[in-house]
Amino acid sequence: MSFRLTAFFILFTGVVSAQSNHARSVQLSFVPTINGENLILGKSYSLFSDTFTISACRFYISQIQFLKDGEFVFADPTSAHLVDCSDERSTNIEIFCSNNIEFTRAQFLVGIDSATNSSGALDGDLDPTKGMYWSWQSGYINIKIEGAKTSEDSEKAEFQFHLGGYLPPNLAAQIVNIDVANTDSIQLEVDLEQFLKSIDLKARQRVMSPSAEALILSGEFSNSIHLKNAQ
Amino acid sequence: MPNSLQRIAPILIIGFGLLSLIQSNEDVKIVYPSTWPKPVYDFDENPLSNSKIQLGRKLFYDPILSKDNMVSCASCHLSYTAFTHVDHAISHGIGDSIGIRNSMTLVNLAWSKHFMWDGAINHIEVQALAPISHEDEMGEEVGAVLLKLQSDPNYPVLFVQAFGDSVISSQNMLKAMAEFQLTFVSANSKYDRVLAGKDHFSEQEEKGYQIFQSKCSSCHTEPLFTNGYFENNGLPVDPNLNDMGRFGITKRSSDSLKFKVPSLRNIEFSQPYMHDGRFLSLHEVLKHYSEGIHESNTLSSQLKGGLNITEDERLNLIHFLLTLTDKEFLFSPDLAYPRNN
Repeated sequence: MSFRLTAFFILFTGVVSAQSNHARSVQLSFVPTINGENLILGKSYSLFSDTFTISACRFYISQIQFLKDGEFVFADPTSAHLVDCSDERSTNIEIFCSNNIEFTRAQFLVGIDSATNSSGALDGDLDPTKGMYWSWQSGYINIKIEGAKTSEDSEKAEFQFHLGGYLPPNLAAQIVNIDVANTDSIQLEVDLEQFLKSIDLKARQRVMSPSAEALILSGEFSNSIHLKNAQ
Repeated sequence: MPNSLQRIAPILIIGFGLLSLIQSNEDVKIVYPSTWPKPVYDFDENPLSNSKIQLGRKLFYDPILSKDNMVSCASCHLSYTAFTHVDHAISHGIGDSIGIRNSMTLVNLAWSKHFMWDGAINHIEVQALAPISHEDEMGEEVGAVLLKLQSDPNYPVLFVQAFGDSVISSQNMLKAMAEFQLTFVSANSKYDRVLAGKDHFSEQEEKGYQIFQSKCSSCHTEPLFTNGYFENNGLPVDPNLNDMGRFGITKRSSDSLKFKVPSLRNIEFSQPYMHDGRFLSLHEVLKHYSEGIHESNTLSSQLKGGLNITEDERLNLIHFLLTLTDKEFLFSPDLAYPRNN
């Protein structure tokens, strides 16, 4: 009897202390924008004297970490988060960490690292049926941007950018660092206008496999992620 | 006494039932000679279980994986023919469509780091995604396969037995298929028995083995009969297929025209030969290596100028190659179509 009681107390104290250590939730939200407005899929936007629509905007965020003065203080245990602009909930990543953590920088990977890419059949957001996996050639699509551009002479051109690659020299996953004070809500703008501006859509409407081009565009995409708001 | 037996009988029955369930799900270990290298697949991390192997076997032989429910993995990978598609230079799939390559033999896959002729696939668990969704092979969306399996009268129960979950996920389907294929171990050919001191080569086989060791084994390395790498073996490009092999994956010019070195085990049964099945017989293969080498920048250095194998040597070599036939593997009832399921 006394053993059971002791066991209960140990368990109870364990649960309470675990709760107090994990009480903090930090929201990392991604807000895709175009023309300064929040992106609505399928909506027409006037941009560089053309009309643009975006039909798909999906990307992986993985290895989220917090740093304080250059030292790692927290690593998100979830291996990867799929952000899909057609599903608002997915754009808001909730991270649970201990209350006593303080940070001055958030760091994450846009995309999936090489080791995870070679780890066989995975589940959750890394389920290969989520439309972010190349079945004919192993590897995750880190970033998928699809849409169409209609120019002034009403010529319509569709574009598809499926960016990824886990083998050197075309390692496409990008590290992003955001300097931000210790806060519970980090809002990041994904400036698709800046991303589209970086591409010569006349010369290149499609990147569908790992390549040097995919690498360049992956860099342009991660460069278009900026701190919008922090509270 | 009979009373107490009556009381404990249900417990005994349940107990034995549980025991047999545990028994059937017990870890399965693949068996191979102690002289072999360590497998690439991490069996300590992912131990095989009988229920998963049997589920994977049912899936492997089930055309439900294809869009028209007509093509199964076994359509191109038949156990009796070294798990490949014989008599067709280039394998065909759904609606009689034709791909660009000869299907590979499936053997000793636990030792394989890359899959497919160009190594496009980096892990056995994700290999099945490629043929299922390829428009010329099974032509089906993996998500649609999962829905078909979920509404099948048998599969949800088998997934519960194997994974404790009746909701069929791509991960569990793929892991089960991988587990079955990891049991494709061919290690009991005459060659293996000779090495183990249980048999003897004939004079011709012995001579052939010596030629093999001096001229072939740098790429077709024993005991797996592949070095696991990609090589350009001097085949001129077929202009209709224009297949650049590994280059298509890595985009490195140094990988142009390189293809995975296939294992030679059970080669007697796996004709036609080469990535595009251009040679129908072993005589043609050896003629190519002797007289037909096409020089190019990425040609394997060992093949420069050809292998110069005389007619007599070719015959002896073929005698040796036939000692790589493993009938216990080819006709194993555990690997064949699951008639009792």
